[in-house]
Amino acid sequence: MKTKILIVDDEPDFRLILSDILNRAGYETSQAQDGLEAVEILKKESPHLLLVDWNMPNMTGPELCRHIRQTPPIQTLPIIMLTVRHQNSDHAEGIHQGADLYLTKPIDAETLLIHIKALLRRSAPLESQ
Amino acid sequence: MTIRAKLALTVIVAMGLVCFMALVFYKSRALETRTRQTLQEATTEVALLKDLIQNIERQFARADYFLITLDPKEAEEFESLKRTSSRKLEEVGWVPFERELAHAGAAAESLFALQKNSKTRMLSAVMTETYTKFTAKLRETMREHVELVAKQAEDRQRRAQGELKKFNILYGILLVVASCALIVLNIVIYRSIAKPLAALEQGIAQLGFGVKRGGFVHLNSRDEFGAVARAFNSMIFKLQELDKLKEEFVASATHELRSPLSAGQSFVKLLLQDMKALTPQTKLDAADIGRWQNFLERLKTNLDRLNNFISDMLEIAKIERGKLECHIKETDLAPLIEETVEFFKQRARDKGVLLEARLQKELPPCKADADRVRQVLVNLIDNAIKFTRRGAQASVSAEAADSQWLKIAVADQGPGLAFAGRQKIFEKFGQNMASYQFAEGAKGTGLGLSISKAIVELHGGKIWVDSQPGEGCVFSFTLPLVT
Repeated sequence: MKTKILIVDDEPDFRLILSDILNRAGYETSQAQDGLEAVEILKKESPHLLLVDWNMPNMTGPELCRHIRQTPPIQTLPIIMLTVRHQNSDHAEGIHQGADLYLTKPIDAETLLIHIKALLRRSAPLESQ
Repeated sequence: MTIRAKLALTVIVAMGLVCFMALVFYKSRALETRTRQTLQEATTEVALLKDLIQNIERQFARADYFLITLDPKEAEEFESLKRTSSRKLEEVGWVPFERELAHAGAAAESLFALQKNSKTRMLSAVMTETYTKFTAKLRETMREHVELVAKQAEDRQRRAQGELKKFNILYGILLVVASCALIVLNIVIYRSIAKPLAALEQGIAQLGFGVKRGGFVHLNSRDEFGAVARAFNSMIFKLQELDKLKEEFVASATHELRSPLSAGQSFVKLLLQDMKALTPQTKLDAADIGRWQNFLERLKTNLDRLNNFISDMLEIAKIERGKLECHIKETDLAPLIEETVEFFKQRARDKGVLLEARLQKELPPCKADADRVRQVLVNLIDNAIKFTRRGAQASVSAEAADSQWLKIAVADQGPGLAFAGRQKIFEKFGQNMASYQFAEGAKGTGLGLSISKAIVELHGGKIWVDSQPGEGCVFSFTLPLVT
């Protein structure tokens, strides 16, 4: 079964680019344009990993992370925060709110795929839990 | 107490002290003169007295000689000396031995008279005894008197000198006290000035290292330096605010440059990857072609976005240097507005938004730069379409607000703005704040409204927004009518 990755970002171009890169690498992708939509999708689908932007309308990235960490069925979902915000304080806040990894845009495809692979290695697919 | 007051006080105290010291000085001079006079008088008095007594002694020495030698010349000398004595006695004034002198003199003269007459010579022995008794008494009295006067003179001298000494000591103490007071006042003033100045200098030096390091000066005095410190601190606050704004601006600008560039690069990369996998045998289907067209379109969009942003930044730079050009002419804006609305109608339809223009019949001409006004309209209508919900309406209206101004308004039916946003939205990147709700894909350069504001204000007009959260926005601006 293909590993599913949910892409949460308010920029359609970026969602398009990410999904293309991930699809080529063999992952299945779905998209959400903000945290709220992501929560809805999580109720219906079970992605294995989340790529989350910070600045989004309706529910920001950190808010989404916090929500996920407080919701028992999806608590252990691996989350990579992928944002332009590069300050140390943002990095700390992102991890604090629940992201497992904090990466800054722009990022090249290879680096991102390596990180995803490493993170997925740590966690089993949700179905088998 | 303010520094000025302290200085004034010091001057007053100093002047007061100077006057006081001058007074005391003059008093001491007077006292000294008086003392000297007293001393001199005493000395003269004693001298005169001693002189008189000496004369009297000489006088009666003659009489004594006469007793021994019986020389009439001695008697004559006696008389002459007696006259001198009288004169000197007048100079001295009163003496307590006047009576004794008179008696002694009389006795001497009786003796002379007796000796002159040979008949009475024998009686002179008795007179001699009387004479001797009187002269002895005279000498005794004179001696006592001289001693007394000398002693009195000495006493007076001592007392006068004592008084002078006391006065000089007092004067010396006052001098020391006054000096101490002035020194203390000077120290107080110096500290009032030197310490705060040092604190200010430190604050300024600290500020020189950069606004973030601060350099706040904590002077709580209620004088001029306290005021300077407060002004300095508020200046640092303002500088820190400006610094923060600058940093936010740079961060936003960097983001706006990076994002489209990075997206464009990614699309090119993806396209290249696909191209590399192609062989002459590869069969292309509609999906592939569609995909590549999509990529290229997105690439173009991002490049346009980058280009627009750079143009806007250059405009902003021009505006900030006051070098924005506006060629203001008498213009009829009605055709321009209709044209611009027409231009956006397709785009609006694509988004499912109804775009309408409502112009006042026979719109009066304005004093405006047509191109610039178009720039503003494009910005506002673009925003309106971006922010209006699918299926809702955006409208552009133009009418004469009064005899001097034309008002153009662009209304949308989007999420609207909270109160705080209504001013900030005209600032550079003012829309990129977390408090806003963005509609889908509604990212502008963030500079558009700031440029529009500059253009409108260059025309002499005003631009503002009316909005309620949830009920959309109405952006209005005024342009001067031709009068």
